Amino acid sequence: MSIGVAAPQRRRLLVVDIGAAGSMVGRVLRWLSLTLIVPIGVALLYGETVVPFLVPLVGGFLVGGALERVCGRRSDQIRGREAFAVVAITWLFAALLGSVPYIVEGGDISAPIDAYFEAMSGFTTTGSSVISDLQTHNQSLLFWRSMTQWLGGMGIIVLALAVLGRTGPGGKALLEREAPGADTDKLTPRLRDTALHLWLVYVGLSCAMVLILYVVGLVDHDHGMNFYNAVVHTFSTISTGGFSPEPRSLEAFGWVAQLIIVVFMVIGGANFALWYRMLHGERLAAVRDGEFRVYLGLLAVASTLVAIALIVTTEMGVLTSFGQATFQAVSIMTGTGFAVQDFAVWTAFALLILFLAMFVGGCAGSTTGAIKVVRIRLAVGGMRRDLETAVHPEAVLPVRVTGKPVRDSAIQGATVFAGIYLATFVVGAILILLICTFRGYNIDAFTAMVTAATTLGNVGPGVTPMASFAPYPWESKLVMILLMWLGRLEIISIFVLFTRSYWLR
Amino acid sequence: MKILVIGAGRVGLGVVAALANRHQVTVIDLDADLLRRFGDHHDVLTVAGNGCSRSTLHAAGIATADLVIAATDRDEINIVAAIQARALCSGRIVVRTSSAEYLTAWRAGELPVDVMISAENEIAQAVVRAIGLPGALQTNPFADNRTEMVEFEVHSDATENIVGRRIAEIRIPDESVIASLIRADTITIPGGNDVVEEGDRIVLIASPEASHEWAQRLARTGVQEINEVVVVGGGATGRAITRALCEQQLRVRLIDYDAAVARRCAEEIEAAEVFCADATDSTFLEREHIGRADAVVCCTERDERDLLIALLAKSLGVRTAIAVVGDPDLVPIFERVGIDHALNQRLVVAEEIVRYTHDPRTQGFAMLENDRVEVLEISVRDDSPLLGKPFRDRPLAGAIVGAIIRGDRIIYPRGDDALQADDTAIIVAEASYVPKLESQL
Repeated sequence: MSIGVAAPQRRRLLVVDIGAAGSMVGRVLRWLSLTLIVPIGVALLYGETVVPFLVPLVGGFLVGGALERVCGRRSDQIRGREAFAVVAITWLFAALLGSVPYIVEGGDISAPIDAYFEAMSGFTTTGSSVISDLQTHNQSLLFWRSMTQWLGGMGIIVLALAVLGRTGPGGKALLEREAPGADTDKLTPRLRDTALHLWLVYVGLSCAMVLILYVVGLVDHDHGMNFYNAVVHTFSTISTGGFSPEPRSLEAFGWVAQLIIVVFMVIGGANFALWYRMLHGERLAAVRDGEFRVYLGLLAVASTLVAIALIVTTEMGVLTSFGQATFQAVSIMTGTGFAVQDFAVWTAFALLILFLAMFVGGCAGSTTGAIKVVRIRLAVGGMRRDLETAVHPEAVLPVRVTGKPVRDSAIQGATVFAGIYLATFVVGAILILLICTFRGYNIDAFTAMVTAATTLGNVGPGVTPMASFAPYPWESKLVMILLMWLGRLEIISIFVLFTRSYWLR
Repeated sequence: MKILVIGAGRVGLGVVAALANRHQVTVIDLDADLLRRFGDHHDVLTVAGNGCSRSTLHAAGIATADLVIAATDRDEINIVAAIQARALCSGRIVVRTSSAEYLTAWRAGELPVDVMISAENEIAQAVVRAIGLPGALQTNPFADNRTEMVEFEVHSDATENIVGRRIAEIRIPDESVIASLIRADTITIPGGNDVVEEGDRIVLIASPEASHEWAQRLARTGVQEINEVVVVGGGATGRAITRALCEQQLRVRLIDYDAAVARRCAEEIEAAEVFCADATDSTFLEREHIGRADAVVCCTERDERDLLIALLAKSLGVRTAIAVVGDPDLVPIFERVGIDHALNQRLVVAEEIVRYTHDPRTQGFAMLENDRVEVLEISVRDDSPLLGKPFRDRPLAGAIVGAIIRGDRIIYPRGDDALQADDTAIIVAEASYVPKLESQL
């Protein structure tokens, strides 16, 4: 008698631990829903309805808890592989959670696609809006809108890591998937402390900014800048988000408030690890950091070019031109997207510079999107090296960043990223233009390109900064949502999910 | 003096060869066969075993050692042996290292070692000295580089021809002293009536400015200043040389055929241009215009390769060729076939280590003519019988005082000068006379 043994099947096995991933997503969602307590407080303060926030608070807590339970509370078993899926899906869920208040409120963005667009634009710190009339919305809702940017700026997962503590072997991978930039350095031996410190720096800078703006509002009799506005604008400045409850963006405020906002946009676009190191004894960390210097240099170049264009083509005068140009260049390059003037009427040259600045972004480890200064430096370094070796084939020329040689794989990574980024931009622009053309909404090619670049780079404003994206056909809004999501999570992290080898052994 | 040498490698051997005749030397090494052969050549005691182990150190008589020299190839072994030795004996401890990191740690006082010597650094300094003074056979700095010993060969086709002249007729710059005259195998302390002949070597003690003046006067026509150097070989020695030359603001190109080594060099030394290529590949040499360099320094792992590359470079038009030679016996051969300077790591390091077998008052030290002449920087005792006696009376037979460091001043003595208490003197003497000299001073 023999027992038949099945011939070994050539089966492809699922290697991603979906249970652990789902559990982690549920856990983050559960904690994230608690942040809705803040807008509830604001609503109570202003005597507005709390229902729009109560629904997602309860709903998110229950759904998150249920997801965690169904998956078996195994969120500490996340490994590097699951991190990709966890981060990608968490961000989709976060935007879902964030869109519920807009739907429940029933205003001009209560259509699910519009609400989701607004929420995704918030969490990804893009700042593009589909709201047609800001004044029809409650103070508490606009507060929540800016707060999503603040939460998304430093990162939902980073926040979760700081709060949750133990994350198991995949913790570092989670951080890397979410934190923008080529390399993530741990600042402290324990990951949780790093996440916590980053958030503390973030909170500290935010508090400082609220205080400064509020004092300016008091002293300068800047009537627009009350405490509410100080908080809301801090939320969207330090996160380089760009939502403003003011219909004309920052045009209403005085130049002192605008100057402070410029400074904090620059701070938000720099590596937060730098501010951490400066607070911990290394006073000159920012001055010594090469990326920060190049970042400032690029900001200066962009500002100057725009200023020259304005001086030549407008009647604004030299000082005003420089002020306007600096504000706009900083706002666009860091991906914040505030406007102090309707720059749509500016000359084409200024618009081109601003358009190109959308691709630069800020430093690694900041709250900005786009390609980022560090990758641009690496790619330029690699290019210069290739030019040299064309003449001297035997020359060994390591590319250096701030004096430190970098691995060739880092250069390759940066170049590949820039390539994928541009390819995604091209596809996005084509899709948007195609959809708009078919649906009879007429836009020109430059508008389509700006729309794709502004969403992919998490910048915010389209060609006309004060106008909303509301009239766009819903399919193109879906493309924009995708671009924002891809841009915030640095594209490759998400593209990986669409490969066979990610899921199967 | 009882000396314990740990490690019978290249450096250890060099140290033993220089010390065995004058001191009681014990050598420790893991390789018993090597030690047996070693013992046949030198009059030393050998102990087979690990230099880091307590029992081996005891067996070698560490308790009574006056000087412990840890000179294995591995830095970490040397340091552990030094820590162990520090606990077991009261003598001085000298450690050889090839790491700049450990040197820094030692200078900061973080390692329990009296002296740390880097063979690579010593070679690098020797190369810099050879390149810094074209035409000089040897230079050694004294008194924190404020004065130096320089050896020149005298030729009649020099800028200023001093062949056939009496010493008294030669103009001697204020800040210099002619310390000795070496002709073939005889070393004389020159008097005013001695006549300089073709091929003589003169040893000077001079300030850096004065030695530059001497270098210009004695330079053979066609010898020029060096601006551009090619270093071949990116090992620890090559890197140390490159780094030292870059510090001199020279344009340095470094060539190594190993991609990983070349990469490491390029990462470590930003100022140098690094090439990953075969230095014997003529198309490469031509494309990169290697022949237009002023000097080439060869320090690959193989001596014959060094020789080949150096000769190739000379044939392409490089004026000065320097080779770092592994085998000390090859030094004269290299120099005979046209290599301008052949430097041997073992000799250079041994010289540095031998310095520490001297009277503790000795601060600087150099060897000339294969250890037949020594140059010492030594502080003078308060009760020395030589105090106050003018040099005209030749109080030190067999030796000459080249310079006196008195407070902040450096005096290049003439006949009327004399030693005073608290002086430090730089003295050139025959090696056999040194112990007597030390006791007199």
